[in-house]
Amino acid sequence: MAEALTLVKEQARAQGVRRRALIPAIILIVIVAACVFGPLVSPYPADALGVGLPFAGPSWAHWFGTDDLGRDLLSLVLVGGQISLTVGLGATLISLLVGIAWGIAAAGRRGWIDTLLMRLCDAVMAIPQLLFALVCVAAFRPSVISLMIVIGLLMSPTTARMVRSTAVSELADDYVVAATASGLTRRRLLVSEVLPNILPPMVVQATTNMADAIMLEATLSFVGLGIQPPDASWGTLLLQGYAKMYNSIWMLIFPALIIVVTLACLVLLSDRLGSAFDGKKVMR
Amino acid sequence: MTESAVTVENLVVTVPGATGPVRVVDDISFEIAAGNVLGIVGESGSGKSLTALSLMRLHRSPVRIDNGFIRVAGTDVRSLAERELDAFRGNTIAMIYQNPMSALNPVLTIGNQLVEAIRIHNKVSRRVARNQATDMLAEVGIDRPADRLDSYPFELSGGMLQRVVIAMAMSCNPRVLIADEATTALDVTTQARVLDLLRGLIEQHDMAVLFITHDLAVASEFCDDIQVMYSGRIVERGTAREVFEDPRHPYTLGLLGSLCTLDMELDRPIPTMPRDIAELSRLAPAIDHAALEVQELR
Repeated sequence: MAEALTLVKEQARAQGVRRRALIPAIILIVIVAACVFGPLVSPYPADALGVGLPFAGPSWAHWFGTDDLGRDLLSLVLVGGQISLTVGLGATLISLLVGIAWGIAAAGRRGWIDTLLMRLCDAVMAIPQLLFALVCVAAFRPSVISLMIVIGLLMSPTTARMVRSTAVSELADDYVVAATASGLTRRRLLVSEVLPNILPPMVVQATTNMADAIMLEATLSFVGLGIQPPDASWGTLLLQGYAKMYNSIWMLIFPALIIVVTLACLVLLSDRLGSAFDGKKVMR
Repeated sequence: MTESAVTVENLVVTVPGATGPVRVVDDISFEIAAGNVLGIVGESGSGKSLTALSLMRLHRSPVRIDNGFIRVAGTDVRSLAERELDAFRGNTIAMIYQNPMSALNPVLTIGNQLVEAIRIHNKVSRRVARNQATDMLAEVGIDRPADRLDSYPFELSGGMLQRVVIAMAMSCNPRVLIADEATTALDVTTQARVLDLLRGLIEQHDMAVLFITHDLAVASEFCDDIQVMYSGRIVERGTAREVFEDPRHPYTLGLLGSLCTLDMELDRPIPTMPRDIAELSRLAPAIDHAALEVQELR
């Protein structure tokens, strides 16, 4: 009876968690949709000069105001968002692919290979991310692709570590012993039994990685080593706004605001997804 | 006499301890003939499961087989290489687990897992394997087997899951089956049905079975022969009837005495054993009913 009661409570809790995860998810979907479709319906092309007065503040005609060349800031933010989100998504995918392969290899082999792979992890994580990214991007000409790869690789050790620890604990589960007893080879065991069980925490990891990637891209672009003009991302808009901070503060505020909201939603989502999956683990 | 399906001689399993290796299975030998069920009973930590795991070499380090000879269906298990072990497990010998809820992968459908189990050892297409899986589920008495293939483990009851686990163990027609507390997690009525099912399968496939349990009632009903283990050693062995109706060893007597009936006094003393196995062996040597009969006949 008490058990049934806790189960009901647990389910209610999990449901609440799931509902709360919905709010940041919806905001994120709105932002992504706006970035993808907004420029198509906007009356002002992002690269059209003088669609309004230069340095005009927010108004009904230009919600986010205009920049020094009279371009519509909202259109710029949306177009910039396309690049920021693309880099974020690409880097996240790369970090997951590399990280999962890395972590699974370490968990599956153990012994000296495990030690080697994990110390390599520590080594990469010990280097300040920004410094490493700056050097790499400077070495290979900044572009959307090179940013994705550099940022993705930078984030893969954290993912690898997470994958390894989850895989090691899954490997101790009964079903793994049962699968071994039915003659599954080690490799197939890892790929077809353990991997599907690692995916839920990976979804959480992915949202965290995405937030990190967007942040890092914005930082790199802000110091001028990320996306190069004439392309714009949230980071480059921030850089331009920063230069005009004293006479048109909105040029700084709106790009900053969209970055903050996006990151906050991603972090909240990752947090709430984390506790939602945790609840599932308890119920099983 | 025909060659037995399982032969174990002088098996020693150890774990490292502070003062050198500790023998958790201490020099035991036994045989199981095809079609026979050997029950191992004993308390937790008596080495029942470790004995069973030895037959498949499933120990995790630091537990290791230190000495002994193990032959399962003509294969010398200790001489197998890693790769040969993969082919051996599941094919020649299979295992049924105590808790069906945790023995199945929670995120894959049972069909997926059955198909995989079949395809590990037989090179057949997914479609053929799926048909076989359906037949297997039908054989273990699951109705609408084709629909059930797409269920996830959490959608089935414990009894059904144990049937699935049995089907999976039977998928490659093993010669030897290990059932480690196979019915302990099930309620009594389900338990009886699952045992009936197992009985049928054992006779049909002429398997040798190692049945581990601490449920004495189940053991007396289900097993042909019984071995009582205590502290890593076999203290008494014989047919189920001999051991349960004519127990000789003080530990067996104590074990049977621990069964409760309603008319027992509540504060009766519980028979206890010396903690030191060496002392117990000195007080009461291991009893083999087969040898006893020989002695009595003389």
